[in-house]
Amino acid sequence: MRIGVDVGGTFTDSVSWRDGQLTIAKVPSTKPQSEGVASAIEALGHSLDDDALFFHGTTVGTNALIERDAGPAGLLVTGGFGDLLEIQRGDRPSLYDLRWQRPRSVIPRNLVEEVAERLDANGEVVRELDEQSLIAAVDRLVEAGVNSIGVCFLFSYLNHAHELRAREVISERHPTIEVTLSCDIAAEWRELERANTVAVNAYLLKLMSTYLHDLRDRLRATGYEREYFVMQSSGGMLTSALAAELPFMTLLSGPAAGVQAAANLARMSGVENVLSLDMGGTSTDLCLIEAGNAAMQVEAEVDGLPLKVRSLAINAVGAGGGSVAYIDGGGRLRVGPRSAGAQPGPACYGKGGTEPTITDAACLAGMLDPEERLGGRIAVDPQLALSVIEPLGKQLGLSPMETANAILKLAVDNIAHASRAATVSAGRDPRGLGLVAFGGAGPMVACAVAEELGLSTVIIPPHPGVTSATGLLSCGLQYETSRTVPVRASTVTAEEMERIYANLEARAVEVLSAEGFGKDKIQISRTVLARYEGQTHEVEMPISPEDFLTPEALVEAFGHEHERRYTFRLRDRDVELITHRVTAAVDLESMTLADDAEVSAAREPRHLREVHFGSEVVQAGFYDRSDLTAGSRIHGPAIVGQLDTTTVIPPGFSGRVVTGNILLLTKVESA
Amino acid sequence: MTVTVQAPDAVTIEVVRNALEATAEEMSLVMLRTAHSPLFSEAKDYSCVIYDRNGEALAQAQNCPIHLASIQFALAECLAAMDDTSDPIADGDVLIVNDPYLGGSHLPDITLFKPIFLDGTLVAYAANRAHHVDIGGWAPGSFTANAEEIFQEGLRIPPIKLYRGGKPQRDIWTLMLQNVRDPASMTGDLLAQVASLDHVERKMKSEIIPKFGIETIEGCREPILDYSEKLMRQAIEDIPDGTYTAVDYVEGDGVTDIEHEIRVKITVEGSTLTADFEGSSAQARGPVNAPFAVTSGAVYIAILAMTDPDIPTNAGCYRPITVIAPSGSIVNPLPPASVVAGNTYTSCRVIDTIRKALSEAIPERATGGIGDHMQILAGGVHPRTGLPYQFYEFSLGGWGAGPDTDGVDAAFSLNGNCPQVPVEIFESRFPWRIEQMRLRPGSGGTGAHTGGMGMQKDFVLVEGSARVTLACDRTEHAPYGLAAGGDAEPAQLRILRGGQEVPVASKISDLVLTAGEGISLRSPGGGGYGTPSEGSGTTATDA
Repeated sequence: MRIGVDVGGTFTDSVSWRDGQLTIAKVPSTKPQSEGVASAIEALGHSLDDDALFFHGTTVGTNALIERDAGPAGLLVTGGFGDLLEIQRGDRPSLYDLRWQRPRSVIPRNLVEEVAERLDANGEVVRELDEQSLIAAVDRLVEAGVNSIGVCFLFSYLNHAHELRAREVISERHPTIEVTLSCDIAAEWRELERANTVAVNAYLLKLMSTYLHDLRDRLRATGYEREYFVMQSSGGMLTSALAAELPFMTLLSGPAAGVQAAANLARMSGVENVLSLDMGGTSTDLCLIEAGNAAMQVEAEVDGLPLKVRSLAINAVGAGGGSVAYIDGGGRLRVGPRSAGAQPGPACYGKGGTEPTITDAACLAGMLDPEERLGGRIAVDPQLALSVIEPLGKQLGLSPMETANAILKLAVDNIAHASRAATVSAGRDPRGLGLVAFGGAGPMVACAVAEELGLSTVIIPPHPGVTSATGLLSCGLQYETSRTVPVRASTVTAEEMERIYANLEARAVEVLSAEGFGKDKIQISRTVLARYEGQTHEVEMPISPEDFLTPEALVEAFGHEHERRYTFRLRDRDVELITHRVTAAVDLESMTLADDAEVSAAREPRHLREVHFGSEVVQAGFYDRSDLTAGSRIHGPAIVGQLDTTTVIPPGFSGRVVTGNILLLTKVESA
Repeated sequence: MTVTVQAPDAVTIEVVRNALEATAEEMSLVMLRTAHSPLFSEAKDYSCVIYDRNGEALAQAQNCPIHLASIQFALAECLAAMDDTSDPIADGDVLIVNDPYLGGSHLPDITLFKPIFLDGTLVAYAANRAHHVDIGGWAPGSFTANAEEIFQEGLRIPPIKLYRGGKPQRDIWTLMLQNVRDPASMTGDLLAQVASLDHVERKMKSEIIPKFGIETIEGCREPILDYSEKLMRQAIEDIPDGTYTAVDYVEGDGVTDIEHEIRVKITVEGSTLTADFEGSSAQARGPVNAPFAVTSGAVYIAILAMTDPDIPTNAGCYRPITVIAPSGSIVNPLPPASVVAGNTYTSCRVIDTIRKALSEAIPERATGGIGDHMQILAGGVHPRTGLPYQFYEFSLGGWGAGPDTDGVDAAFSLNGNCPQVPVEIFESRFPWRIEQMRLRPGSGGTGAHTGGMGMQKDFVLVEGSARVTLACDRTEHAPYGLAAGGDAEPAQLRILRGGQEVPVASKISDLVLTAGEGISLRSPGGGGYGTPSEGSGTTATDA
């Protein structure tokens, strides 16, 4: 059995897969998130048994970072460099903007302390670590109330001694303070990027470890003793114990699960290149997936701050089902990024919401069936939607229905604009792509977004509201470990190289076997980050034992990779091998869901109701998703309701159900 | 082959423009990731542009503004030079030029062009300009602070072919490399520039042209330029018609102590703008002269910043702007005047003088003066390797405050956008140490909004001896405040010697330092904006 729980801004989704059966559930997100996670598991109706694997996608870290709601953490840096996080690199994101402002560091200047110590570029000690200055700095930070301290000394990637000593001193004097060392989590040169990675990790550490331990306790209380796994930003899984120490690696945990799910859906539908659109209650995440591979980035930027971490290249836009519509100072209608969240949620949910949201607009337009209960738990009331949209319309001089249409149009525009940024910025014409739309609100706007972008294929998964959680079940485990040991191709021996990699492999295998995976199940891949002598940036390339038999073979392997990427290689130039990385992966047996046996060509709607598509008012057929089985065909205008979401099919679109119970919608020519 | 033009729809134009801009960004990335000197690979002192077959910029990466706005002058000169010969530009050629009197900026900036042919027809040019660590001449780093003629500033390269039909011209390479202090770095960096051009060619031929069709791309060319022109005209129309003037100063020139005036008269008439430098000082004896391409580039930068910074930047933006600079003046010198600093602080001064003039017309868009970045260059022989080294480093100034924003602390000047080289990479390369790098409290101008702080960066030589050049301005005339906001603190330079801090000239070459000695660069802050509130004193930025 596998269980996945994905926490979004509004809902916490759970899925389980056992004996070929998929079960799903959905509960409101809570603060703390672990409470909602526990009830989401409970809602599945079967508890975790000892054979079960539990996978988790969380937004605890990201939310806290963006809202600056974690910490307080302190940072120790080398004397003379206390302003490092303030000065940053000194360049700007927009060339001609006179009003630009720097992104704010997570650790304010008054919680950065200088310590008298200095290493040189060979890792040799120039100035001994002054213990008195260290102790004084640490005590000042603790006095100021920090719960966690990061340490980033210059050149510590070459010589860990001063950072290690700093940890000892902190732990001796203040055993409850968490410590993050730059030599542990980002042992590569470039002090700003390294210091910022340490700062973010230190900032989130207490919050994340408390959260993940709390969740473990809750799981234990149900009798589940095994380790569980947390999604990383890169799309693989990390043990919760490691995630608690390395929160910076899970900042895109939730969105990454959705992207993995979208990649699977694209493969199952036979569409090669897709845009993944995951719209929840608060925001929409977009990611380009080509030939099954999601776009990756080697250095992430979160909230404008550089992080040394590999991650999926996801664009986020503040438009979700709960995004609030309002009138700005200039008298123009705006939608989002503020969201009504899960509590009170959209007004039409009848839980006390008093502000008009995108969901309220869809409700008023007739797209949500008032006779069905959304999510099996929440009923929608068009009268409540009207009561919040009408006053907004009055300010604009529009009828309530015109206002609802304007809100929907703006939301679609916002998402389409961000979609173009995610694709066109890579020089890709979005028009050739399929759109995989999911999340509680994705299928509600998918066809409108597709029309806006000129896309003709929309892929709606069987359970759009819990698709991210499904992604958790299908992406396999991955543990990555690396060490920075700069060596030269001309002088390093094959034995030295093999020793470096063998140690990394042993560590990776140990971590995964501890979770019960046999060595035969673990696949190992080795890469090295290398550069020509004199360059400052590395190229990551796969490396095999044959590559390090002779210096010539190493230089040749690198030259080949360099030429492939950059059109040229250098002759007579040594190659520096800087960081050695081993990735251990365990593929899980893929989930194949049985198709429903019944094959039917067309379905009759359960009933017809009036729906507004812009100024067009039509009688749309209302279906239940469970009515649509493999081979079913359906024509817009139609509304398909189901447990976790509503799919809106405008006039001009038609759909059919294909393998895996995927609803494939296509734009009909000359509708 | 003839190309028929098709009128593309708006979405296609947008997609083609983005595809070209993405390719320009990739050019930049290829250069960054393959280059050898940290000045390229970390400080990104280079720029990448894609031109149409007429030499008009279609797309550019977000690199160094002063390059971006001036490379087109060099392309025009190259095309003119090649037109005269019986040896026309052909497939596989790469052109090289650095002559500031033929569209260059200063000699260390080497510009390469590659024509891109499709079935024998020229369709575009890829171009990049990059600052090399040394191009010969008197001082290491080729930034001779007291040069009186361009011949003292280094090797001057007219438009010639570095590659011919895909083959490197060995004799030209040999000649060039024999004349510079660090041939290994120059080789690696030139190859990085070439790789970046090759990337464009490969991508155009294998992806962009097959995908859109050359007819469509050709059809997008004018609309892309027209769109930016239209936005620029709209932005200029928002400036009230009239004449606006301002003056600012360059403090001496390395040879004399003359205060050189930069004097500008801006005339806005409908959707056009003219910047006239009549009345500016005659060309200087020292190297503070800004060649016409640099002056024009600086004008474009100032106008983009003061109008709509989000206009897609290409040649269309520049069409409504006219630059008039008297021949033989500091903003349009005649050869053989020396020019190396014209591209650095004189261009900063041109930008801020124009911004000051326009602050009368559009106060809501104005911000206070921006503190220049300060420059140190040094060279010698690395005691550990026995090989020559040079570096070009900066200390960054504060930005001016505006009607609703404080100025940013320690950021690169508007004419460039170079990130600082990480201390860990700098010290791995050079026998120097950065002893400290901190903000200068109180250096930003006071006001309702305070100017950004400048910074202090101390460079100390660890081993051997080195020849040092300092090339800085704004030690007396501080970046200006606006609307009753205070001026910033000006720059300070000190030699660190035997525990003492000794004042030193801001424009000097041939300073010889020995191990243990150093230089402290304390950059100016940015000007304040608006009347300071009660109780805020000169140290408002300390808070």
